[in-house]
Amino acid sequence: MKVLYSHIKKLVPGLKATAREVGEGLTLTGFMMDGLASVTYNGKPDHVISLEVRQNRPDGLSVLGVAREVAAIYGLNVKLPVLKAKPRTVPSSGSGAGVKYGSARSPARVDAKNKVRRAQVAAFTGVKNGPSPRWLKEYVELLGMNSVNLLVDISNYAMLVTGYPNHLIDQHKMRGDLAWGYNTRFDRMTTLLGTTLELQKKGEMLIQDDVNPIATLMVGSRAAEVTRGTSALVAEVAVYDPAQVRRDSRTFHVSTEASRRLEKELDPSGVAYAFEFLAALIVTHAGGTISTKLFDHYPRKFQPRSILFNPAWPGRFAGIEIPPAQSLRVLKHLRFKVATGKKMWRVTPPAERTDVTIGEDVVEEVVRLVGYQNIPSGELPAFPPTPDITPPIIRLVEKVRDALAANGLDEIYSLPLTTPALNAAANYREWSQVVTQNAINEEYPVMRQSLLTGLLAQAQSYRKKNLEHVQLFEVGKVFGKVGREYQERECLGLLVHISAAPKVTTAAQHILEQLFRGLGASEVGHRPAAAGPIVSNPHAAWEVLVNGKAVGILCQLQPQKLTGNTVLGDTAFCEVDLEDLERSLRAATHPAAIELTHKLIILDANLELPRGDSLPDRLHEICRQIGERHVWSIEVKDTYPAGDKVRYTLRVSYRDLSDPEAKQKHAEVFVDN
Amino acid sequence: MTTAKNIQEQALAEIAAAADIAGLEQVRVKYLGRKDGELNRLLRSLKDMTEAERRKRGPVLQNLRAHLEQALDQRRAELATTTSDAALLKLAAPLDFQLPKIGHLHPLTETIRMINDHFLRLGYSLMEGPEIETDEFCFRRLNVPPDHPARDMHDTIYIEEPKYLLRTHTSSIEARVLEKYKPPFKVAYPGRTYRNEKASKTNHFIFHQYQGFVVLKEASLKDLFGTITGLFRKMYGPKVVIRFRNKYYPEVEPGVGPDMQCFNCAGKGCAVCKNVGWIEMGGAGIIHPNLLWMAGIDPKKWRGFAFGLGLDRWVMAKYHIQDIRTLLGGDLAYQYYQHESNL
Repeated sequence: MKVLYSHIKKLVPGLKATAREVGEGLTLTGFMMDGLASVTYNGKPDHVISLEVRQNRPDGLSVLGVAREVAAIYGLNVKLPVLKAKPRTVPSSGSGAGVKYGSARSPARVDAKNKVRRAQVAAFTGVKNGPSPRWLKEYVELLGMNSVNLLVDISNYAMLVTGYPNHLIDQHKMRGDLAWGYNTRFDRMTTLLGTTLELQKKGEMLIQDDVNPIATLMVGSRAAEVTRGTSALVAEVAVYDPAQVRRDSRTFHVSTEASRRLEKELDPSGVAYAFEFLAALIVTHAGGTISTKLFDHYPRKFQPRSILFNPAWPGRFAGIEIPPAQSLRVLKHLRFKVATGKKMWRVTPPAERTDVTIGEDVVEEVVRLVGYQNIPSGELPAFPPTPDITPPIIRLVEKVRDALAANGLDEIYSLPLTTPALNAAANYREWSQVVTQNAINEEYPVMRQSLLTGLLAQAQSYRKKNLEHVQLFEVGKVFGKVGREYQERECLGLLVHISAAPKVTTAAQHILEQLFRGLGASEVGHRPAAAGPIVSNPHAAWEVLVNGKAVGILCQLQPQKLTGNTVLGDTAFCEVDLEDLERSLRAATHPAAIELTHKLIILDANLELPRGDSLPDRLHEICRQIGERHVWSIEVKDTYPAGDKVRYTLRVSYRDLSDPEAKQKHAEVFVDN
Repeated sequence: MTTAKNIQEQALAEIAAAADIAGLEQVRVKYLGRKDGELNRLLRSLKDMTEAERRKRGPVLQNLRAHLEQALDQRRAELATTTSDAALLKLAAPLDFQLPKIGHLHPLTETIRMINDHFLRLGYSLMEGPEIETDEFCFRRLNVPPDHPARDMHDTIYIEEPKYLLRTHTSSIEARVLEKYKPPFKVAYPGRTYRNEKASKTNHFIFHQYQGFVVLKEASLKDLFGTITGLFRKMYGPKVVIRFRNKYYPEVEPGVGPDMQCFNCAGKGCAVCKNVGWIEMGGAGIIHPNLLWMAGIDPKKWRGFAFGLGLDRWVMAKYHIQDIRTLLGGDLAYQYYQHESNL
């Protein structure tokens, strides 16, 4: 939104602040100045102040609205423009410009009544269109619009000043009434800008006549364009259901000065002033008369809305003292009506402030005009202690990071979006992939199902740049869909590549063992995995177990299976589900110390197992048979193949047993084995 | 043309004739020097030969190189025992040495940790939340119903429009905490967010934010300003100049925009700050009562504030990273050690 400094000064008599000071004042109160240009207007030096209007303030996109804001900041009043139109009888909404309406019926009707909150229409005859006077041409151009001809410039000027968009339609190009309704008839419309809109007939609104679409809610059509030859026109000012405007704007991919205003909650009562302003400009500068009555569709009249407000609130919200008298002064500068009471006030905002609806909105009005710069900001607040609700997994993740970095691994972050092909190669869980519907970056349409995709890509990049030492990890989410449910799991991914190292999975296993023991795991183990990623060696994939629970997968990769991968013949990958790991660690009990009442009794034994039987499982069973509190350790000292079996030599250390007791236990257990 | 045989004969003769280490080194460079060594020139000419010629000549030249290197080693050893270069040779022997490999954490992790530590010391809890979000927690619970103009600021990537999407801000975590826990609490959290934008050197569809909020019996703008000032001093140093202005966000009322005085021009105006003198640093404000109501929290009894800022540009500036895409893989790599710390 741009405003001309001289215009603001004209609207706010007594304003002494410079353009920069005005811009900085507006910035602090909510209209951020993002540009200040020195210009010449009407032969005199001037300034254009550019403002970012983020608020849901429809009045903020008008010169009058900004002028009111400036007046409030400096404690002054706004003087509305007085137009030198030819005097006629009222009705007038107080603009000071009396315009006379004709007696003929205005060619307008509203079919979609619940979407049009107010519309005013009248027809003009005997107008003369031509080039704009210098002041008007310069004005619209300085405020960022193209000067076209007198009538078009008047239309834009009226919108810029009042904040209400309008349409001027060449009446000789119209057939029948100007009608607001849903589009059921037209397939396309050529806009005033020359572009073609494909109309959907799916709930979008049009202003149309018997033959043509005249306009969408946000842009006019060439069919009834006002040109140099226009001598009769129909003018309309209307406000709509903002949601309809937004939907249509998205449907047509059109955003205009008009749509940006109409998408906000414009006050319907303000249409009257806006239409009179427009009509007076037409009559004053283009001549002519109003040939019809004023058509005024206004189904639900504006009712002033009063808000219950506690004058103690601004001070409590701000954290400084703001006396009620100061709040009252500020509200009056903002043109709020205030009915004070002992404890509570009734505050009525001006009609155009449709954004102020609750007490907190009134608080903001007071505090922002008192000034945030007057609130101390250098002191850390002394808050009371509050319960710690940090999820345990967050602490676990930080410990994991520290442990791996200490072990020489580098952390990466990679894209959580990837390609279906990479997902297919890397996934090992039983879930389907999560697909985005509208991602602009088409090369990454799906969410990653494994951290392998990113780790492998980074390792590739390292190798291409001659970095040989590749030990990477990443902590991040992986995503999938099970049935109708979307899932995301926080995981740790590890990738270890050591050139020409045949036992790279052993190196990865060692890293994991150190990590888990450091985190407090009492048991760390592996068993063959039922399935690994497609890029893994199917004979070298294991489930990782912590305290007896599966927490992840470790495998040797064969990344040459991935097309275009030039790297990494000797590469191990591991992925650990950190939520599963956290649960496993939490469930473990770790007696801190034991009382050793006897010396350890150490005995050897032989154990024969069929090939393929799990040695760890068997040893766990033996521990149970002995009684776990009597087992200090079991070590495998030797392994010997014996036909279709394997013979193991074990060294068993017994605790808290006498010598004869240990030997008896040993004989019982190992005779049976 | 010099042939392999010529080179062999000449080189061996000169190696044998070398009287000291320096002279031997000259012979080595003459025949085996990487740039202009005669044997290496011959090796480079292999590329201009036919496949058959290369197969024939290549092994001959490689064998000659090995032969010459052996002769050089031998002569060097002889000279070591017979000349005063022995002591020099001992020093010149290659070191079997490798710098220890230390691991590194990602720059974003380092940054997030610094900020986390700051808030943990202030008694905040840390939090996390889902990246696949619902319209409910990404928008509605944050006072942004369907068709609200504020949705235009978000450019959402949908999984299943309109219900499931990739979160466009970490405020969705705030909505979830308000739903799940009862006040009082103080919470801080980093998070990854998604917007439907084309990735380029300066922009990305994935970026990282840091947010925090409190819900207590009393919390004011003064408390909020003090909190933000404390954070910025931690990140930018004690001399940072900050201003607070009114700024609209649907999830807060009053809303706040903290700005930092431009470090480049000290507020005078320059290209870095687009001549404004200030750099926008994020958003903040008193939590809108609608958010509390929707979570079943009575705003007459509880009040809170919230704040948030982007992390990526700060990290890029601090670590001298030119391309935002580096933060998510590709060219990010770490040195084994630092000569001096910029950090």
